[in-house]
Amino acid sequence: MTGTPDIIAAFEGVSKVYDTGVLAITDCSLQVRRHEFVSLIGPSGCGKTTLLKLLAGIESATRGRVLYKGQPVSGVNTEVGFVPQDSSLFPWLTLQENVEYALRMRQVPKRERAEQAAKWIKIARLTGFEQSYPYQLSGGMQKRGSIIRTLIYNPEVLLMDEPFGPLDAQTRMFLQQELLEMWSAEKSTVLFVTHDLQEAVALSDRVVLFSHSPGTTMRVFDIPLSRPRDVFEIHGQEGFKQIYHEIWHDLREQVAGVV
Amino acid sequence: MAAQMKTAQVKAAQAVAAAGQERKARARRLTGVAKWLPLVLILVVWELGSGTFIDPLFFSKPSTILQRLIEGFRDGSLTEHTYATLYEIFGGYLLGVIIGGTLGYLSGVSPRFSSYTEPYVLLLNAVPKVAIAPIIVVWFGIGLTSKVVLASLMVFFVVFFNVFLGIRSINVDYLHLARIMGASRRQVIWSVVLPSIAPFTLTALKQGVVFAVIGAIIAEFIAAARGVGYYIQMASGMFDTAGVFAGVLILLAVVVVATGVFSLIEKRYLRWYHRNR
Repeated sequence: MTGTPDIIAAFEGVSKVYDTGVLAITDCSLQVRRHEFVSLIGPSGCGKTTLLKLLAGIESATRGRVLYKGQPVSGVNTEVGFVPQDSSLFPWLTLQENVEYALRMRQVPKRERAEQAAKWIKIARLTGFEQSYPYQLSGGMQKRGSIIRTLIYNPEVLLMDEPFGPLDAQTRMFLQQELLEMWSAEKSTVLFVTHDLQEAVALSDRVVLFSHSPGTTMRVFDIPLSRPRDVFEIHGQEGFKQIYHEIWHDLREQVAGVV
Repeated sequence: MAAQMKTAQVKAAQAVAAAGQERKARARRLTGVAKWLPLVLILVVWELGSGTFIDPLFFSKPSTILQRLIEGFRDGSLTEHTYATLYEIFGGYLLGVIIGGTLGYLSGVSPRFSSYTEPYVLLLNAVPKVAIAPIIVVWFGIGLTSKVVLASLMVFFVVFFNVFLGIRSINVDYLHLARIMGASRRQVIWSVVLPSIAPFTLTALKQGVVFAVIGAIIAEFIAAARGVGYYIQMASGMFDTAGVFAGVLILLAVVVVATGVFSLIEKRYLRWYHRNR
């Protein structure tokens, strides 16, 4: 199964014990298909982020195998993009320099970098803020900057760790909609961590339910909603309520297990 | 019509904002001047009171001190001392910054290396440098070398600790993100590590100047044939109060100029850091 070209990333019975002795996840298995949008949902502190870090190669599995394109991940995986919880733009670089960063590290010539950056800054509606430092941007703008600095080098898999967490409801929905549009335009694969069920259902092809700590992949739900989707009207979409309640029924038990 | 009204409203709002900016700028200029008033007041009282309720033998007066400075540099009697002390400060500073910066960096990056350096650095740091100054003069002679050594010792610690702390407070997420975005280890150092520790390093460079001056002057106090510290000591021995103040003013000027340069660099390149606080 692991050699199937359709599967871009796979976790096989993966466990992770941190140096501190904390068992973050245990016996996780999951296969991610190319061009798929998969959300990981579960109570906070259940180790969802750990899965992303394992695939990015900045943590290594204690047991089990993490495969990327059929090969075990060893060392930092530069074919993926990571959008962390806080926007983590480098505070000493301007927005433009931040957006160009990955291309600069890849020795892309200056002019081409600038062209690419201008294109993405325009897509993210950040034109006019190229020379601003992160502290001069609002939370939503930083978030958009953080996403496009990842998209600019066209990573095959986008790992997003509660990227819209601290934002207000309206900004969130706008960014979710933008993300969906960029994702369908770029044909990338997204692995998306969230604790917001509505967000998970609205965005995903599949939703993976995590148990409470130590986390494990409990159940996978297919989301039967048609695309393209409109996150602002997702409530009214055929089938939304049923699948939402079906997942919530299971998620509730896990959340209750924490509280 | 509606559009016109809107532009009018925007213009009115901009005018109000501009007036507010203007008011703030004026207030800033005023405090900029006002903060120097107490100093001016002290100098005036000092100058006018000298000879009546202020004993000139113990306090001299500003005009006499200024005159001493001008004469000293004109006839060369202060020049030689100033050069000697500048040499000691600069030499000690350079040595302290290089050694302290390197060891601080290595200790910050490598836990193993720091486990070796830590006990010695902590122990040496606990020793009052003034207390070992006499033995340093014995070891390195009464010439300029002993002053350079003591100054560098003072500078070493402040640079070491700041750089060490800077490395330890780097956001690990930044390092990981840079690597995922394709930076090599070497690129990570240039593009993440150095910018991250720049604010700490600049603080160290700034404070280092003050410590270099202290080190050089203490060593001169113990035994010297030249230098501003030597000059101050001689002057005070002869109840030459104006000479003492003249020497102090020279040291003050060195510190003010050097820290001023670093403040300019800070303003120019580290705005992102201070705005983040």
